[in-house]
Amino acid sequence: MTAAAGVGTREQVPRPRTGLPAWLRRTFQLAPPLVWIALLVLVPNVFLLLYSFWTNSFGVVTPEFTTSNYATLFGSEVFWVLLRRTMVVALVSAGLATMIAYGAAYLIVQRFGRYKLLAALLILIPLWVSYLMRVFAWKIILGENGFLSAALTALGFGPGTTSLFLYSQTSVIITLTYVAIPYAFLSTYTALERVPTHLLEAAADCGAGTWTRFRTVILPLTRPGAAVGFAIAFVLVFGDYVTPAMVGGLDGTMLGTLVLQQFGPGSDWAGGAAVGITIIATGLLLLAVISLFTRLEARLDQ
Amino acid sequence: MPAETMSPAADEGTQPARTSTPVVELRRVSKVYPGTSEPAVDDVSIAISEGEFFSILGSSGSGKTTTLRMIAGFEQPSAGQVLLGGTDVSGVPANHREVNTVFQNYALFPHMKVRANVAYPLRMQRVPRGQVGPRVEEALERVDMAAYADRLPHQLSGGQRQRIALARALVGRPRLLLLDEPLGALDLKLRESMLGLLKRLQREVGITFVYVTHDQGEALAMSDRIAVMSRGRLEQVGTPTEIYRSPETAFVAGFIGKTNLLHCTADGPRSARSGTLAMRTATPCPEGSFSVSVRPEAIVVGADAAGCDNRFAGVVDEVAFLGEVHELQVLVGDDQRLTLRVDGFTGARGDGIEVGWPAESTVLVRETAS
Repeated sequence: MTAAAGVGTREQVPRPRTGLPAWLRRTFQLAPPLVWIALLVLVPNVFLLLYSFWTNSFGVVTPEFTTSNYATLFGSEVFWVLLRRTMVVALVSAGLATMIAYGAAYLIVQRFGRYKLLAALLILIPLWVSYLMRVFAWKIILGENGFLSAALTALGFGPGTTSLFLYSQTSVIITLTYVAIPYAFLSTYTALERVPTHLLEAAADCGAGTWTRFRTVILPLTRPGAAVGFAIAFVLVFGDYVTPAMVGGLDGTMLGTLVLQQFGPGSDWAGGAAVGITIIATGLLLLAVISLFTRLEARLDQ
Repeated sequence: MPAETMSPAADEGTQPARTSTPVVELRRVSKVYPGTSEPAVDDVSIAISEGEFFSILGSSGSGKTTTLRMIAGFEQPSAGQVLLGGTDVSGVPANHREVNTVFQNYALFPHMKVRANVAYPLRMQRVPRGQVGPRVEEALERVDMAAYADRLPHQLSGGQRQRIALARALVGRPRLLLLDEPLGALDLKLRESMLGLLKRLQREVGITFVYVTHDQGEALAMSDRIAVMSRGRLEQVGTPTEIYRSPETAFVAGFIGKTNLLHCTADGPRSARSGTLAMRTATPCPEGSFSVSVRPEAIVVGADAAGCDNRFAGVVDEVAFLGEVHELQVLVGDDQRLTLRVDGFTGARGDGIEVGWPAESTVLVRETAS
């Protein structure tokens, strides 16, 4: 087809120059992102999966199929204790983080007007600080000579209270909650921001007060966003090993710590891979449950 | 309440079933948005009676929507009072006002089915559960949407959504319904059918309608009275006939329909002069400069012009066939251009022509200060 003919008949879509069928062209166009995903996501996880089924003999992994890694893992009482604890810690801290983030986002969207973006930025700023630094800050706050115990001592509580905080499950939950807030905030803020003002005006017009407006309009429309925020926070917290290591002590050990030990001092990469796969599988399972809450049957862009 | 004088035009005109207290009254209301110096609404006083179909007409930025939002309670006036049923509602939030609004963008709750959307105001009023269903059905039937009760808003077309919005606004039986350019997002054909529906509804339910629009055609066709606004100020309040036939300001004359506006000075007690044209007027001319408005359809040509008070010889400069009539541009006097509409014109461009109109069609209007 010549250029002149193409101009003459505008309705006609210009034909591709190459003789390749459409499906093949689409595949080629999709190739770069597919390669990207394959290299960065698929391959590492496939290796992890393979390792978890390979045999470990004295620190060397040999490609012989076995299910003994999982058998050992599921047979160990420690694993179940850690799984249960990790689950509780992750659910509680992700839940707390989502609630705090949601409240903050709600206040910012409703009350801060044109300073909205600035306020949102302030919440996100901790993300610029190194993760280790943030956890360390909590170590200082919660520590034996830290801010919190100093405050309690000053208030007249005995020295017995000062060791309540650090190296416990509570301190892990506090720290992980803090760490997860900005991540949960991103998604809840976006969801709240997207609720059109005219819907709230319409609700007020129909006679709904502030709380009813929140319950009947804002909450249903932002629940998916909050669920996504919770999911991000949960996944982030579930596999974490730095925080338990720094503020957890023995009571605060989590599954992530186990992975670290297996790959590190334990020299059992196959066993570590099995724990890793278990963490991923649990996370996916929970995401599947959460995805039930993220469905929104309506569009906001009407 | 002290009986304050309303805007002068509000006392004139035909209003159905006037009661002593207006449903809505604005007393010298102004609104200045924070961070702006020009008021969005500037010293507006309006009184709207029971059962009236009242339109607020103006272009964008005229303050009409802000006025409506102050009645609804979404904005608080910077000065002046808003009275609903004789009670000052300053500081009363929207959810405590017996007013319902139909929004231009429908504002239906996207996560609720049509039925739940329409039931929403009833739930807020704590209407007993058993009555909610029948009342929702009734409201949906009024707007011919009973078959769509189980759809979600995004499964409906624009016109259907607006019907649902109407049903939701009417189901709570408010004393006053505010409509903020409800037909703005609809195409021409839908607008026409919705206009009919609105007019029918208003007659049936007898609720006072305050209708904000930029479309003068809509306003003229539907309203009992119209308030014309420009740049935050009230230009004129009156019946459609008054607004069309006797505009008080040049802005109103130009905004409502097509007109010829001629800048004039007084040339005698009932004579106005614009350039070389001397026109007789039905009402006495004021001192200083003013304008006159002459509607295109008031001007006659040829033999018909012979008996007119104002007669001028001109040259046809442009002819456009509009279907029912021809629209002519005629140059008269000192190259003054007049637009006129005549039935069955047979001439052509360049023809000499005599044009004329009676003295009462020469309407004196105030020039709007700029």
